Amino acid sequence: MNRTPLSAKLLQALGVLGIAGVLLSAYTPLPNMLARALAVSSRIQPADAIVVLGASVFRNGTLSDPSLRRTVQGLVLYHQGMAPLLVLSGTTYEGSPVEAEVRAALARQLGVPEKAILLEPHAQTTAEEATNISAKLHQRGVRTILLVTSSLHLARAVPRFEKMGFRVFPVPADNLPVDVDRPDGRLRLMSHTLREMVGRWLYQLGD
Amino acid sequence: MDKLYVPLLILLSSACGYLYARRRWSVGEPTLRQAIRTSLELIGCWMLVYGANLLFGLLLILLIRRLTGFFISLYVLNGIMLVLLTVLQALVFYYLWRSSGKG
Repeated sequence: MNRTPLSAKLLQALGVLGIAGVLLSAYTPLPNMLARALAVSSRIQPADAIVVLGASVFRNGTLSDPSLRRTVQGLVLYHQGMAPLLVLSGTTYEGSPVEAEVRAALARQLGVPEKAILLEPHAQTTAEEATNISAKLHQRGVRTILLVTSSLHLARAVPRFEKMGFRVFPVPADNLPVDVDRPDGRLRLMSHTLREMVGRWLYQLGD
Repeated sequence: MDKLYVPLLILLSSACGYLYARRRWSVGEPTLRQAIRTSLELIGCWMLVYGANLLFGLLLILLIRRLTGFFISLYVLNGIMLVLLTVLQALVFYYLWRSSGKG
């Protein structure tokens, strides 16, 4: 009788784990539960500034889906009168236009006056965004901010801005809701959640 | 029902495929079991290589950022290309491992 070598058994076990992981992620609420545990919920209150964190922009100047959603959320907050200043972040990505400038052009077209817009075009990470934006906002005496990004990213971003001395009101702008129930959506949610968990861990490691 | 359509389709087409293979190629249950074991090994091999690529990729990005100041986003590891290229790597590694006589 042929005996299966240990390495083959281990690979088979890993294969079973992989399939089980995909099925559990796609067909059970596991990703939703994990995402809910990590996500930060909305707390909209009047503040001194609205800070819209960067996502990405394509080379032709089209804002990515997360970037557009965050920008629109920031614009809605501004037009609701939640803060007099709109901070738009976002750098350039491999030859693309600067995301913050593309967002600012959209904001101007949608009725936000030039003097109410502040740009952060250099930061490449959330930590850099917190550092650069806080330097600009502290000069203007800003103490409270509405922070706009995805609900999973907020878990990492809110402590960063709080550490810079702001009182932070989180505002999620999600392109993938945490209660998504289609299998492909759940798989994407699981991927996003795991990525944010790793990101959070790396940020804690760096502190 | 929409959500279960794809898994049901796969179950049905797998059953049809097995019946076809049994009649046309005269293969039985032991061969099917071996095919499933081999598939699991391939998936396991892919997971191993993917995990190694993720870990190595992460460390390399952190190292490049620290040593050169050149910025590479961690999001590059989140794309479909890493998944697809790892499939190719895993197939080659699996073949090498099988050929070595250790598998």
